[in-house]
Amino acid sequence: MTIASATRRRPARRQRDAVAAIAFLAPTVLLILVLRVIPAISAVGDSMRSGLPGSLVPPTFVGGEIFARLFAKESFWESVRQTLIFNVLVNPIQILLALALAVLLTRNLPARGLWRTLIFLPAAVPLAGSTIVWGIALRPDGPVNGVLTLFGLPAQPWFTSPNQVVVAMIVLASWIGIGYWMMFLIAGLNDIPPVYFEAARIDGAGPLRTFFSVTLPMLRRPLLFVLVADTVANFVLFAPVQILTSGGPEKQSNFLMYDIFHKSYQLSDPYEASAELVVLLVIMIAIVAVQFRLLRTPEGEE
Amino acid sequence: MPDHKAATRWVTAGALVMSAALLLTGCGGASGADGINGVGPSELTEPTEPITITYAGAAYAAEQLQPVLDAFEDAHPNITVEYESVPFDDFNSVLAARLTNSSDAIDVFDVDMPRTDAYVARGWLADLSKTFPDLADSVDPGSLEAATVGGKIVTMPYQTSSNIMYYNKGLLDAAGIATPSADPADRLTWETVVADATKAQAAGAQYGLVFDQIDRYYQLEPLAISAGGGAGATGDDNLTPDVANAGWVKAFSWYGSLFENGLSPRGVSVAETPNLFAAGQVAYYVGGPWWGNQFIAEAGLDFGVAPFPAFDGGEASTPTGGWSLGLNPNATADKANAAAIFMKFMGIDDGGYAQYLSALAVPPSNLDGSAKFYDADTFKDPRFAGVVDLIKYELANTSTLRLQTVGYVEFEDVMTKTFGDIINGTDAEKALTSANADLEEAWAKFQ
Repeated sequence: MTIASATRRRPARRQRDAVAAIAFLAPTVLLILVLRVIPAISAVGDSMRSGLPGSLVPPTFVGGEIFARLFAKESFWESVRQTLIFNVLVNPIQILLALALAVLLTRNLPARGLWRTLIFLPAAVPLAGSTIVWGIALRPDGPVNGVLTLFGLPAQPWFTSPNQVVVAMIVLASWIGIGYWMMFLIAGLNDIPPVYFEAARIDGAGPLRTFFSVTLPMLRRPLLFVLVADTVANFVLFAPVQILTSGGPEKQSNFLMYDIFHKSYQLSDPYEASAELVVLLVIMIAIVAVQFRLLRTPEGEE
Repeated sequence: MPDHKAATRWVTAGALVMSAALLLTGCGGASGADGINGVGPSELTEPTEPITITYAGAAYAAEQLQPVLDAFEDAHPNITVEYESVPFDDFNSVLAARLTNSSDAIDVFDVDMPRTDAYVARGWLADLSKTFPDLADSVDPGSLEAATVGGKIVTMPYQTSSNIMYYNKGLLDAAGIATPSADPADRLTWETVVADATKAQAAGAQYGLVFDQIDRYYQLEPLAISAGGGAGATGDDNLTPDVANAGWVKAFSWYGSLFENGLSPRGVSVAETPNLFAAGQVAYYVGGPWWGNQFIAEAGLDFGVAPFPAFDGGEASTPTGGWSLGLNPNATADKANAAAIFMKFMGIDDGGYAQYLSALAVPPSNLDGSAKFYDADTFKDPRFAGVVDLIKYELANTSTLRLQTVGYVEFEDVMTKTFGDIINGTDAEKALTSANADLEEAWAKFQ
């Protein structure tokens, strides 16, 4: 092979690489467009149009009227409040427990793999399946109350009480979520080079000091991912509400995502549902932006 | 590296094909060249080419309806009916998605009678006035009323209904309670039934009194009417909610107390209630005659029937209404023709669909069909004594259609959740006041 032919081939190869890169990226980009970007844009469009529920007559453009109508509804603000309460509680609980378990299960425990598998297992069960199981377990005459009464504790109404339904939802969501997010944190913990822990030990740092000065800062990236992904997952949690409570009792589990589905499909009002979807998106983007800020890697590190 | 290059090419090609497929599915849809534009055919012609129509239903499971479909295909060999059974709770959302997103996915579909007005307002129903001009001669007056909106016939009614009260004779005997009569003149009051149900429960019944449609307006509306509270809305077009008046509060404080006192079980779904009675655990069971087939199959179950009770001093009121068939207003002319032939078969021809079902326990809308219906073997079981006269009496005198309003879908949605809250212990007055406010919000868009 001569030098001349080698230089002539280079642009051709670059072109081929570009074609391959585009081809490999195209499905993902298309999927993002079709499944994310286009629906989001059409939701914004729908939220500014109006028609009779389910009507086959084309809707008319009404600008901000749907938002005005939505914001005037007490039930909408109740839904926003319950969504926020649920998320303010469920996300820290899930992440703290997942982190604690991840730290525990990266220690030299006997049968460590078994414990990890058991804790991860609920994430492998389809959400609808675990929802039904928890729905039965937490029934007023179900097994959980059976155990409570066995220990002389009063039976609880769980999903049937307006005061407990959020707690019951947190239990259900966490049973699935903790094991799943724990796996990411375990991977993150294993990525921390052992030299840092050795250095900390030589410097005489105790376990707490090591955790806060070495583990936590080194875990910032996986933690940020888990925090953001978990928050998003919990904001759009839907199946348990649809299957178990339909937003009740007394609308206490009428989270935004369920309300959007309910309005769009059961009440055939996609316009108000789209307006609500836009609100949910704005709330989620705001919260995720704050999370990014909180866990931003300080400059110069890495 | 020829191998590597070939592999890259294949992967690239595959990726491009996938992308193209995605683009196509993402941008597909939209068709319907020769639609009927909302008006059913005025003349029905037997198709000469094979044609398949899709029928989405919630009233019957596929295997129940099969004999009817077989008979239809025998009579009309060129038409094939593809039946899709959809659970009742999902039916509204399935129809909304299928009718809105794709013009020819469904040709003919079940219409829950009280939703007729709402479906018309949504543009889901073709005008059938010219298709079935003589409908009034074939069906009972209540069904005709349910099928008519703004003077136009918009559905083919095929089935109506009524409710009765079953009692478990063994459980009543054990408590020393006299067997109730099936004569409407001896209709019990709810007050008496609760007192007796409490006694029966003390004497061994697991539950004293259970409603079949435990959280549904269909069966609970008569409670409000009997207590003087009305159907739930007033004003023009029934769009002013009225579910928090004294009558409603009285009726549903009473209903809530059934669950508070353990006469009825909490956390039980509509589908589970008949099994409780069939298993001999319930003293009084208020329900549809359609459970009769299941109950007479239980050889050890000694039961009888009595009229749907009323409150002391209140008027007698019983649930009614059933199912009609609607025609997709965007169906093609050929499919609309075939679908209308099927609708006529279901509701009119030779007394309608009921003659092909052996185990039907709900009266058909068709007048000839209902005569055959009352002759069914189910009603000849001695435990069912008196039920035919009772159903005929209720349909003629006490049956009350559900609220007829364009906002029925929202109404039923709010009321089902409200009844659920009352069952779970929310104070009836609080729940109904909140429901009234929710309805005002939900109906604002129809004003």
